Amino acid sequence: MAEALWTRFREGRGIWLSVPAFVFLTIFFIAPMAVLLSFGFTEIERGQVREGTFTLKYLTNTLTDDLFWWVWWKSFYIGVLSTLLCFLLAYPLAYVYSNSGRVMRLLILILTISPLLTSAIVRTYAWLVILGGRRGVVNVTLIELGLIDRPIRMLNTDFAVIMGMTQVHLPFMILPLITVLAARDRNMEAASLGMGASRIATFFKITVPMSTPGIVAGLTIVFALSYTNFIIPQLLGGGGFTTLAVQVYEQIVVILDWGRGAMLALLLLGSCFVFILAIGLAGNRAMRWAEREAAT
Amino acid sequence: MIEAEGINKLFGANHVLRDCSLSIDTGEVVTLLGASGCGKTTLLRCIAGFETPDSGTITLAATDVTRLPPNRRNVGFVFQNYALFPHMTVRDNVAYGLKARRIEKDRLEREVAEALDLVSLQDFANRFPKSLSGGQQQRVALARALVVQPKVLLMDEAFNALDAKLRGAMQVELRKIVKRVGITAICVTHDQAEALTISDRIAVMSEGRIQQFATPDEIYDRPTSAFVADFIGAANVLPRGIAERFSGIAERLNGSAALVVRPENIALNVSEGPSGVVGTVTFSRLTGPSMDYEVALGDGTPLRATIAREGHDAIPVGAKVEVTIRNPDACVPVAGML
Repeated sequence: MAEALWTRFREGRGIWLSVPAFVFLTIFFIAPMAVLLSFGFTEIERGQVREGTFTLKYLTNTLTDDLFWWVWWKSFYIGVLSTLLCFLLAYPLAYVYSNSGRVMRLLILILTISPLLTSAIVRTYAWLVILGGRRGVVNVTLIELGLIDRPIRMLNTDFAVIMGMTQVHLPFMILPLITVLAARDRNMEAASLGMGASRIATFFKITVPMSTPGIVAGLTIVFALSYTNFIIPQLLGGGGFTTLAVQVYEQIVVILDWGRGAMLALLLLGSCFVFILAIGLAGNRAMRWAEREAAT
Repeated sequence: MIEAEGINKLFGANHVLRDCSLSIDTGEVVTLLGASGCGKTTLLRCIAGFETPDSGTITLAATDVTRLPPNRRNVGFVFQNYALFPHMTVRDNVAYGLKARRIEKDRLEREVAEALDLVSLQDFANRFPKSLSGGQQQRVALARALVVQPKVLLMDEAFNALDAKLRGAMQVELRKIVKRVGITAICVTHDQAEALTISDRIAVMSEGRIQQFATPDEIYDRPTSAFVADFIGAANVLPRGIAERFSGIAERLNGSAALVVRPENIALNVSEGPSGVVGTVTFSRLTGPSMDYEVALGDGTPLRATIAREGHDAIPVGAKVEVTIRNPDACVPVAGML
């Protein structure tokens, strides 16, 4: 095994070019991460890590805690909903982009990328202004229009968190979809139309399945971002609102319970990997056709 | 069966089709032949409905289809890269058009099986296109186009992706299948050998115009312009001044500006003394059954000659030869040079 790896390493021309990045990430990302996660299995007393000890108490305490599962479910469903919302908003836009001329394409691209130039926190604060209380833009507008009598509570709800996440993460869904849709072979659609299929059937049977790689990439990125985001739930969800990521932050920074915080971080990270893997496997299944069999 | 009448098409300022008219009979196989950018593919896509002409009408089976979308024209189309759906098996690819027509399951299964049988791909029904060879993919595309029993089969450079040997074999195969089905077909190609193999009639196109539309032998034997003569087979286009120097040509030329002489209509003679038209052999090669020569006439005009090898001793490069035209009647006067 090690020998095979070494051979591959030696044969992989130019692989040493990745050494600086590898060293950098090891020192500044992997090592601190490992240290943090190891706290989840170490005895900690009065803020002192007792090196060399091993305990599973944080693991068992967490997994048997109903509150943990409730919080996990909240994180999961907020992540799934905002990811799906991103997809439903991004796909039509990416499709329009792929069928547009140069000017329209540039416009869509600028509108997609420019929010990334502003900090996500600033953009999240913008939602406070839009959704917030009596003087929020939405409520004022609705009242002025006479559609509602009293302000609707929008801030500090699941709705606000999902809206915020969707807006902040939308570019990461749009960009991979634009990439696959703009590069697609339009003759496929012409062939479908030529064989008598309607435009709608052509879209769902040909265009969408063939954009699977972009869909998988978009879902993966946006789900990972939404599932682990802790700023947006805190700002838009209000004091009582919590997700796994928020819990990690609170345990480590506010309550200073590093053991439990580390364990929650580990569970968040691990489950995130599991879901990403599941999306990838589903994508692979949908992409069975792309596997090359020996031509006969 | 297919009438195209005064078709014009512009892409921006680019006049791609200029007054193209074609009339194609039922069961006929027609090839649009021309160099890239001559408008042949655009004309085909207009007939298929993927493009709409700026003026002119297209009639399929006595129905004006000029403004109809492709899915309502009942044409089968084979794309240059086949455009097989990579995420569907061979069977699903072939069944696609039948499903779009909501044909009941039993009949669908039967017709798909028949179509795969027609192109000898029964054993590949459950494979994905990516696992097939180029020739097999082309046959899937053909089966997929034919299974819906279209009125017309349209093929866009359908042999391009195949290697030379397979291409020749598939052209023969295609001609047989199309003739067996009896469908009216239009093919687009830049390959004159392909056009000669598969067509009943050939439309030679250049610069958006149809230069000549006739049977292969008529196009070869009686090209109407220097361009057509040069495009189909090899041709020597001689300006009048040079053509007149050959004996027996003057009356054939009949005042035209130039004369088309096929290379096989030229004889080279080493043994006799320098009389008549004389030249120097500058290049020779063996093509198999015959020899190809390049001869420079006294004033430097290059000439190609193809001579059957039987009873002919190869002439070395550098040899002085007398050049004669074997059959003056087979030469074709044309209005201008290339």
